[in-house]
Amino acid sequence: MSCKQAFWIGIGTLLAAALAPACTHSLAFSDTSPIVITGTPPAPIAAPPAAAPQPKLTLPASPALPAEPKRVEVQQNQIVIHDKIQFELNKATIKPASYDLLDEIVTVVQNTPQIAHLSIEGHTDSTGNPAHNQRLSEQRAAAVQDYLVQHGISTDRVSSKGWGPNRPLADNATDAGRELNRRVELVILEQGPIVPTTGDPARTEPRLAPETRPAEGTEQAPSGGVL
Amino acid sequence: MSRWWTAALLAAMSCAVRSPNMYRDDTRRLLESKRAVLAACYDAELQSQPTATGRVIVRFTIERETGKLVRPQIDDLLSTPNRTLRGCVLDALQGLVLMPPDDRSGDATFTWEFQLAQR
Repeated sequence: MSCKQAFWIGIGTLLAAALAPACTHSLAFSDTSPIVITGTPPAPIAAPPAAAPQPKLTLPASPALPAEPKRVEVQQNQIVIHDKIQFELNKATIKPASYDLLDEIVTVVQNTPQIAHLSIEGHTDSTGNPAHNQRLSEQRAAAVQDYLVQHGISTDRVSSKGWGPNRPLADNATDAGRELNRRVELVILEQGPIVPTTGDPARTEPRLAPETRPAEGTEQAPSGGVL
Repeated sequence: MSRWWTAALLAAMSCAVRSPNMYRDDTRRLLESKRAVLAACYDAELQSQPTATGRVIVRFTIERETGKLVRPQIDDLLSTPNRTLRGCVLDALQGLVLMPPDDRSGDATFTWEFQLAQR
C-alpha cells in the first residue's frame, strides 16, 4: 500500500467515524401545538314549533293533522294494545304513566258500541310462586277493569280474569320471553258487527277530570314487574 | 483509484438525517393523514357522549431505518380518561410509517385535542 493510498483511506475512516454517531443516535422531539380534531355533536331533537297553547279539549278533529301511531286497535275478537299497561312492582297498582293508554282504551270502548262484553285478562310470566302469580294477575286485571268502570264504561260490559302463568306467549327461559308473557289482554267476549277504529282521546272525546282517576301510589318501583 | 474507494466508503457510511424540526414536521404530516379517521371516530363517540371533549397525549417511537411508528403510550396523567377517545388515537397510529425513514430513531410526543364544533 502506497503512502497516498493510506492517506485517503485514513481520511475516509475518520469521516465515517465522525458521521456514525449521527446515524445511530435517536432524536427526541415533541410538538407543542396539539392536533385539533373537531367533532359534531348530534343535532338536538327539534322542539315542536311554538304555538299558542290550546286546551286539548278544544282541539277539533282535523284530517289535515298527521296520523298518530295507533296504540289501541279493535280487531276481530280483541282490543289490541300496542303498548303495555304498567304496574308497580309486584303490586296491582297501575302506574300513572299508563293512564293515557287506559284513557285511549276507554275511548275506544265507548266509541265501539258493538263491543257487548269485554274480558280483561291478566297474565304473568312463570317467575315466582304460581299461586301468587295467579292472584296478582287477577288483581291487576281487576285494577284495569276498575279504571274502565270509573271512567265511564258500564259494569255489565266488562269483567276481569287472571290466568297467572298458564297462558304464555313466549319462552319463559329468556328475559324477552318473560316480558312478552307479562301482559293484560282485552278479549271481546260478546260483540255485534265490528267497525275497526282507533283510540284518540285527545281529539275525539273530552278526558275525564283528573280527580276521577284512582289515587296515585306513592311507592315507586322499577318497571318490569311480575305481570 | 483510491479516491473512488474512499468515495464509495463514504457513501456507504452516510445516512439520511433530518434536523429535529424536520423530523417533527414530517412526523406531524404523517399524523395529520389520519385526521379524517379520528374525526369520524370522535363523531361516533359524540353520538353516545354528546359533550365528550379532551386531550390525548401520546409518546411513541419512530424506528430508525424502517420509519415504523411503534410503542405508542398514552400519558395517563395528562390525557382525558375517556377510553374511546384514547382508543381512537391509538387505533389511528396503527401501521403508520414515516417515509423516507430516518437513520435515527425518533422519540416523539404529540397531543390530540378533541373539541366540539362551534354551532
